[in-house]
Amino acid sequence: MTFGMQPDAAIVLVGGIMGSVPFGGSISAILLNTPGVAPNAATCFDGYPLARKGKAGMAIGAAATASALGGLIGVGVMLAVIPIAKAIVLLFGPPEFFMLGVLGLSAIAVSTGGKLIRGLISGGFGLILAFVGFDEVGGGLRYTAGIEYLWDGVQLVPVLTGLFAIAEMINLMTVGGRVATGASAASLGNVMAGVKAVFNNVTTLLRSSAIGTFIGAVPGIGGTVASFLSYTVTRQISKDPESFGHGNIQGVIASEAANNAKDGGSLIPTLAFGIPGSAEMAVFLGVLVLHGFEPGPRLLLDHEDVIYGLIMALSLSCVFASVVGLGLSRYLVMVTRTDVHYLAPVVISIALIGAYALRSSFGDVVAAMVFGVIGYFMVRFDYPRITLVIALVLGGIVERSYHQSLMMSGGSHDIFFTRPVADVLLTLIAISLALPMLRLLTRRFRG
Amino acid sequence: MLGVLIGAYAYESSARALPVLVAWTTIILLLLEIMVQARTALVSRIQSLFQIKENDLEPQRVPIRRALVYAVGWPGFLVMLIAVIGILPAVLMYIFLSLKLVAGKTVQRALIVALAVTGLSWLLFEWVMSYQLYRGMLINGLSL
Repeated sequence: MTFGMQPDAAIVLVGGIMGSVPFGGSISAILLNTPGVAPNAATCFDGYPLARKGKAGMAIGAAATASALGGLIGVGVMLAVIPIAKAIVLLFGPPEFFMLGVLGLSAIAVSTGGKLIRGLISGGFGLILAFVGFDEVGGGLRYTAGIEYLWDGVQLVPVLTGLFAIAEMINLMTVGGRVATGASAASLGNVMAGVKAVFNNVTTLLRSSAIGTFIGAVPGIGGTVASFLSYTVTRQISKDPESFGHGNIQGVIASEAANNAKDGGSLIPTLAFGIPGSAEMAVFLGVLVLHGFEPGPRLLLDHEDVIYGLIMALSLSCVFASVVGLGLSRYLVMVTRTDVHYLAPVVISIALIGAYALRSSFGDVVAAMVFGVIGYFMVRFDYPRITLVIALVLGGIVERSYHQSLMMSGGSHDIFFTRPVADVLLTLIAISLALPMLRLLTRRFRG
Repeated sequence: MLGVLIGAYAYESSARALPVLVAWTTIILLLLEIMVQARTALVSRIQSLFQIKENDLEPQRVPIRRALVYAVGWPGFLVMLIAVIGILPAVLMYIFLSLKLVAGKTVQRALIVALAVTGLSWLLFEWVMSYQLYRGMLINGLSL
């Protein structure tokens, strides 16, 4: 799309898209339990239950505000940290990436809210799906069963589309009715209540933005880990953790703030080293190359105007997207009041078109439908779908980093325990797994 | 999962390391889940240890046959239509038949909604983005 554009217009377009997609994905996450992109999956936890209770407007208001503020905070932190960014990013090698991936996987254990074993089983299946396809370490094919479509592995977009959009619509078709089971208040007051909730939970906003910025600064980890970690941390330190997953507005704020803040963080390795901090940054670097710029550490020095143009576009688009979302929220909420017999075939059709549009592959359409069926039965038998997605996203990173680490250490596992940053991350993993049990024991001790 | 485990031993040691670990772990968890469902005394202690809660959602009393029709049959019909006649005609036909046969809406309403969605999809993808949607086996032949 940017091929015929002037470089500055192309940069602004890319920045605008990057800044607005995270919030856009939260709309479908809240209204249809279908994340627009993988990082929005954490928003489903509490956004969709709010929509079911007729508080979709409140959830959208909170998501819009948290997205805008989180994005601005992420960019602000990035600008402040850029001078020392190189030193920070160089602390992370394959052992640290492995630990970060495991930390993200450990979020599965604590995000399932009482369905721990089923969540871990789903996560196990997700990891196995991540191993399908070309093995980057060994160089061969695994679990493809002779199917050429699987040589590139299981693609995330058809899985997300099927597990959430299609499965949710199938589920609604079998049950009937509407998304919102309670009285739906699509009034401005309802939306403003969500906006106010963000300012009433400033600590959650700031903490989540910090987590998002930090995780975003680590190349390759991505927004999924950022939003899930932020959600998990918020839930764990909450005085009322049982309310999470049933419509706690803090859950929406935590995931959306982190999701948008990560864009600022992902600019850090991109500008410091020319290494894309995320898939979106990789696209951005591709746009730069297309328009005659050379990615690398000197990008910020030689093309300051381009970079600051991107930063401005990113910041403004966060805000504009949220303003547009707030303005349209009253109409968007009507989706939850639409008869499922109209909603389901339309959403399923559009979802399959979207799955095809990814790579012009009919195989993606079939894959989306297969995962739609799998997702429906996961809903029916109460197996969390989100843990499967987390594991699918992180499985490749974890395996690659694990083998790279062993290559660095000559096969010794000590490398995971003898590096300071890896030790810190290992401690965080232990805390995140132990904290729920410690809270349970403390509660029992107190009687 | 057993198939994954057996298949893993056909690969090199580096390629099978994590799949074997994950497969064994998942098999153990599946056995644990089966025990939980069996509701023995041992299971009660495991449940309290892992803070497993009873499913607090209302159980869906949708008959399995109806679930299979909606989950497998009807969406499968859409995929088959897409494969044969292409995305846009399939979407038109699927939405029309869903609204007319499944939802019991009038022919006019079903047709209006189907034409609106198909028209918007054509407008957005084929006209605005110049992106050709799948044409189907009848025109293109089948290729994944």
